[in-house]
Amino acid sequence: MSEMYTPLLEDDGGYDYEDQIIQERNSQARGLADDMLQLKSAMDDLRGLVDEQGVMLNEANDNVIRADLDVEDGVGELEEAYVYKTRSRKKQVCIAILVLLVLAVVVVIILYSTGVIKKK
Amino acid sequence: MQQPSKIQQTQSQVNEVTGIMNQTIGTMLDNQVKVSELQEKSENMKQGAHNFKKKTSEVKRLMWCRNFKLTLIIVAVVLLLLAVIIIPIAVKFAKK
Repeated sequence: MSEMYTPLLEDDGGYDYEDQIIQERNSQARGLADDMLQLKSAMDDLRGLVDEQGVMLNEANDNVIRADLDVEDGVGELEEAYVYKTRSRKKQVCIAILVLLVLAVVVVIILYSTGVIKKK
Repeated sequence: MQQPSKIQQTQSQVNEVTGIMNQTIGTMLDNQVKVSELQEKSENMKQGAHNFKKKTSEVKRLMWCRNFKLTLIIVAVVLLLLAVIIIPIAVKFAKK
């Protein structure tokens, strides 16, 4: 940047030297301002990224929370299903016994009515 | 002579901050990729959990239905048993 402002004629003396210094300082300050502007735009980019990522992370968090709730509900329902299954197994045994009882009663009645078992 | 050195100092500081900023933005972009991946995965997980819940609910309903059916069968069999016991007795008493 500073090379743009080449030294003026050397025989002009102190005033031009001062002028040159001022110009150089000016150019430096301008460069600094440019850099700061760049920095600001970088900061803005960064802020945008942070905001975006914040939104995404919030979404991910919501997803995880919902998944957690769903899985918990699912586990609860599976437990209930297990209870029902245990009960139905017991009931199956019960039904088998009852059917046997019915068969026994029917057999006894048939035997009774055909006279194999004698009436008292 | 103090002013230029101050500007240069500030300039070097700004350069330093810019360097750090570039690094940070690079890291941030990496993070962006990771976060979007994470978000996608969590979306999948949510979907999976939802399906799981649906399936478990189905299983529960199935088991409930089976249990209910068995209850009905038990009632029917008990009634049948009672009928088988009571009807002959009733018939016998009717004959007498």
